[in-house]
Amino acid sequence: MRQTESRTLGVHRDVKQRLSGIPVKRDQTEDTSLSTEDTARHSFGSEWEEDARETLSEVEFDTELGVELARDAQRLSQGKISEEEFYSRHNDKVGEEFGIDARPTDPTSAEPLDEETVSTALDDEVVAEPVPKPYDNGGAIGGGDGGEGGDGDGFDGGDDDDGFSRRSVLKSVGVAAAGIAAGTWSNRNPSGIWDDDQEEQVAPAGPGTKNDRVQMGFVIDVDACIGGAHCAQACDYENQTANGQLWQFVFQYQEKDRDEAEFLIRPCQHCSNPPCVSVCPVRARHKREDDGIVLTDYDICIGCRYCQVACPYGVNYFQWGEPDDEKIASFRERNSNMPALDNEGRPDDPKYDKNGNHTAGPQHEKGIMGKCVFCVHRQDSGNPELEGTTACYEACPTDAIHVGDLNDPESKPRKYLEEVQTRHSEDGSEKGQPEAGYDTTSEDAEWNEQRHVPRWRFQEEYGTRPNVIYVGHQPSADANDQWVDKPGDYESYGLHKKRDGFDLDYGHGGDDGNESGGDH
Amino acid sequence: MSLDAEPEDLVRPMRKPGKKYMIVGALATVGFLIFAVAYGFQLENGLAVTNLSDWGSGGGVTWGLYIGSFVWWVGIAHGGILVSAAARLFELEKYEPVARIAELLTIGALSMAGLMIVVHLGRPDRMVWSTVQSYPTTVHTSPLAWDLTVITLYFVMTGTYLSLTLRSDVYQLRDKLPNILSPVYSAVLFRYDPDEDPVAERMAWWLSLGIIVLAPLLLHGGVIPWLFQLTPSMPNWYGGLTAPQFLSAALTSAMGGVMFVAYIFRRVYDWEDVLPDEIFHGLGWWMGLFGLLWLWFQLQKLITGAYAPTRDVEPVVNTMLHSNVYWLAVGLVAVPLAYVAFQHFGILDFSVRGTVIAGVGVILGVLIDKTLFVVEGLIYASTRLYENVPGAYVPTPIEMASLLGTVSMIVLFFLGISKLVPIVELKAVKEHETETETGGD
Repeated sequence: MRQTESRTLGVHRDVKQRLSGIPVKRDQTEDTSLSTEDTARHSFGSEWEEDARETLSEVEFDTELGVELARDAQRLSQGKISEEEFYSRHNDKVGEEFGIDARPTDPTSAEPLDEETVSTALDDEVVAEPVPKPYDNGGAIGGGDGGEGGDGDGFDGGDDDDGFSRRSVLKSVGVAAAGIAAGTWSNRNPSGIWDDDQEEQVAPAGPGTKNDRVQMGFVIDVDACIGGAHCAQACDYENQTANGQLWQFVFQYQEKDRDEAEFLIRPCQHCSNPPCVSVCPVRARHKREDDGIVLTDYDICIGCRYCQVACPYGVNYFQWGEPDDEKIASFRERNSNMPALDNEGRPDDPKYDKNGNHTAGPQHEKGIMGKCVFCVHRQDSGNPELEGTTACYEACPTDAIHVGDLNDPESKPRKYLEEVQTRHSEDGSEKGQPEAGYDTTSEDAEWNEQRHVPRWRFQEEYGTRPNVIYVGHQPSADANDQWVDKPGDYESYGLHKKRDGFDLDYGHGGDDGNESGGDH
Repeated sequence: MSLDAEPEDLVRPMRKPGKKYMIVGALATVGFLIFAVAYGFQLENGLAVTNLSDWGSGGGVTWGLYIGSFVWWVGIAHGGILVSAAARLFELEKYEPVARIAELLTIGALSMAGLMIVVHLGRPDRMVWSTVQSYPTTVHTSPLAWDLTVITLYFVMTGTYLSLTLRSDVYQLRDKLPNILSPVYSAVLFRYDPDEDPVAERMAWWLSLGIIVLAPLLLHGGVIPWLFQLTPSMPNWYGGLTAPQFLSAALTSAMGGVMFVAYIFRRVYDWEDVLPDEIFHGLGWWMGLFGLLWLWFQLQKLITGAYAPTRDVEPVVNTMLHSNVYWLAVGLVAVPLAYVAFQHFGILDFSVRGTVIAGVGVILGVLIDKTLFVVEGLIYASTRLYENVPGAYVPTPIEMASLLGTVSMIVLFFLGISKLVPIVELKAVKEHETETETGGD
C-alpha cells in the first residue's frame, strides 16, 4: 500500500510515524519482561530496515549513515551502548555528510558552536523534572498528543515538538529523518520526566548514578523568602552591574484572596531550551557546554536586543550608556586573586571565563546585553569555596536559594528537594509522592489543598525548560504587582529599577522612575 | 487616451536642475544633517539617549520607533518590486511606466530599512564581522539571520532586475543623456551588446517570477512578521495572523508610495502623457483592495481578543480598542479606502491628486500601526508580575530624527537618480508609440 502513495507523502508519513511511534514500542518492551530482545528486534527488524532505506533513499543524504544512526540510536535507548559511544561512533561521518556535526562529543570543548544541540541534549538529561506529568513520550512531531494531562503544560508536553519546530524548521526532511530525529528520540527518556524511582533508568551508564552532564541551576523555596532582596543586593555588589540592571530580582505580588505578600525570586532560568540563544543572530548568547550556564559573549554581542524580546522572563538588561569604570575596576580587583587565573593559557583577567570568552562580570562597554551569569567567575575561580556557589545563594538569610548541579542527586539543590519532599509527604517516607506533598501543616490548609503545589517551574508553558525549580506557592494567573501596601521597595535597598538615562530634559530621566507619558 | 509621449520626454528630468529641485534638495539635505547629528550623538552617548528601556523590571520597551520604521520601510520596499514584477509577468502594460520607479523605491526603501537596523544596534561596528562569522550556525535558528538573508537576496534580485532593463535604455538614449556623466554611462554599458536585449528580457522575466513566487514567504510575507510572531510570550505578536496582516499593510502602503513618487515626477516634469491618469486609477484600486484586507485582519484580531480572550491577550486588545492612536491608524487606511471605492462606484469624480493624498494617508497609517504593534507587543508581555509592566514609551527627538533622516535620504536618492538615469523605461513609451501608430494606420 505504501508504494501506491506519493513519494513525498510517504517520506513525511514515515518520519512522523517513526518519531511518534517508536517510543510506544519501546515502552512495551520495557514493560514486558518476556523476550524483550526479540520484541525489540522485531520492531526494528528487516521490514523496518526496508522502510528506512526507502525513506532515506528519497533524501539527498547518505542512506547507510541514516540507517546506522537510527539502529544505534535504538541500541542506545535500550542501554546496549553508552551515549558517548553513540556519538563517537558517527561523529566523523555525520560531520562529513552535513558539513557540521552539532552534537556533543567532548563535554569540555570550549566551542560554543554546539550550544543548540547541547541544550537539547541537556534537556533530555536534566533529570530534575519534579512534578510527574503525563508527558507524551511520542511527541517528537505529533505535539498534539503531548501533555494533555498536565495542568497548563500543553505546550510543554510537546516540548520535543517545540525543539523540533523551532530549530529544524528550515532543515530538510532528509536531515530530520536521517540524523537529528534519530539522535533526538534515542536519548529521550521514556517517560519524559524525572523522579527518584526512575532515576536509574534515566541516567545513562556512567560512574555512579550521577548524570555525567552538569547542569547548574537553582532550587528556590519561595515560601522561605521574606522579600528582603538581599539576593538582589548581593548580586548587584558581586557583579557590579549598572543601575537598573537587576540580574537577580524579587517579585513582590499579591493574590486576590490573600492578604499577605508573596515573593518570587527571579534569576535567569538558564533554560535548557533558551529562546535567547535560538534567536541570537551572532551566537553571542550561548549555553556553556561545561555546565549549562547561559552566557553572553560581550565581545561578540551587537546589541540587537532580540534576546531580551524573546525571553519570557524579562531577565536581560542592556547597557544603555557608558558603563561605570569604577564598578568595572572594582569587579576586576575583587576577583584578581582567583587561583585559576594562574592557569596556563587562560587570560589573566576575571572578565574571561575558563574558555577564554568575555562573559563574566558586568558589561564592560555600552551597547551590549547582559544578564545573570550564575556568577560564572566563581564557578571558574579555581577556589573550591566559591565554586558551586553564587552571591545570591550566600546572601539569602533564610536559605531560600540553593544552587548546584541539578543532574547530581548529591548536589545541594537536589538534596533540598528531597528534604522538602520528605517533609511534605503525608507518609513521611523518604521518597514521598510529590502529588501528595501539599503542605498540610500550614494554618491555611484549605488554601494549600487548592493551590500549594510543592514544586514548579516558572512559565514552562513556553517550552523553555527552565533550570530553576521553585518550591512553594506558585503565582496564580490573578497574581499582580499593582498594589498599594508593598512590603519593600528597591530604592530603600539601594537598588534601582530604572536604567540610567542621559541628562537631557526630554523624557525618561535616569533613576527617578517614570517616563514622560503614556504612549496612547 | 493620449499617448504622445516621446523618448525625449524621458530625459527631461535629466536636464539642468530647476529652482524647485534645488529647494527640495536643500530641505532634504537639512533633514539628513539633522539625522546625522542625532545619530552621532547617539553613538557618542549610547542608546541611553533614546526612550527605549529594558523590558522586564525596567518596564520599558527594548524595541520602538527604530524597529517600527524598519518594518515600515521593508513594507514599502516589498510592494515596490511586486508592482514592477507583476507588471512584467502578467503583462500589465498599463503599469510599465511606473515599473522602474517602483524598483528604485524598493532599492531605496530597503536601504533605509537596513539603515534603521544599524541605527538600532548597540554595537553597529561589530555588525558585519559578528554576523558573518556566526552565520552558518545562526541561519538555522535566528529569525534575525533569516531576515538578513532575505533582505540581501531581495536587494540583489532587485538590483539585477534594474540593471538588466537599464542597460538597453541607456544605450538607446545615449546621445540624449548629459555628457558630463558619460563615465557613469560607460560603466553601465560595460561590454553591452544590443543582441543581449532578448536575453536580458528573458532573465528579467524569470526574476519577476522569482520575486512573485517568493513574495508570500519572504519579507512581509514571512521573515519580517516571523521576527515577532514566533515569540510566544508576547501575545500581541504571537499567532498566524501576524504575517497576513503585515503583507496587506506592506502592499497597501507600497501602492501609496509608488503613487506618491510617480505623482511628484508627473507634476514637476509635466508627465501627464508618460504617467497617465489610468495608472493612478489602477494603483489606487489595488491600494484600496489591500487596505480592505488589512482592515479585515484587524477586525479578526479585535474580535478574537475582545470576545473571550485569554488572560494575556485581553489587556493588549483592550488597550487597542481604547487607543486613539490605534484608531487614527485604522482611520488613515479606512478613509482612503472609502474614498477610492466611491471613485470607482462613480459617486465621486476621479482625481489623481485626491488618490495620491489618500495614498499618503495610508502610508502614515501603516507607519503608526507598525510602531504601535512593536511597542504594544512588548509593553503587554505575558509576564505581568513586573510592577512596571505595562510601561510607557514615547520616542525621543533623537529617535524621530532617524525617521526624518531616512525620508530625507529617499528624497535625495530620487533627486540624484533621476538626474542619472531615465526613471521610466523606454520600452513603456515605445510600446505606447507603436500602439498609437498601429491604431492610426
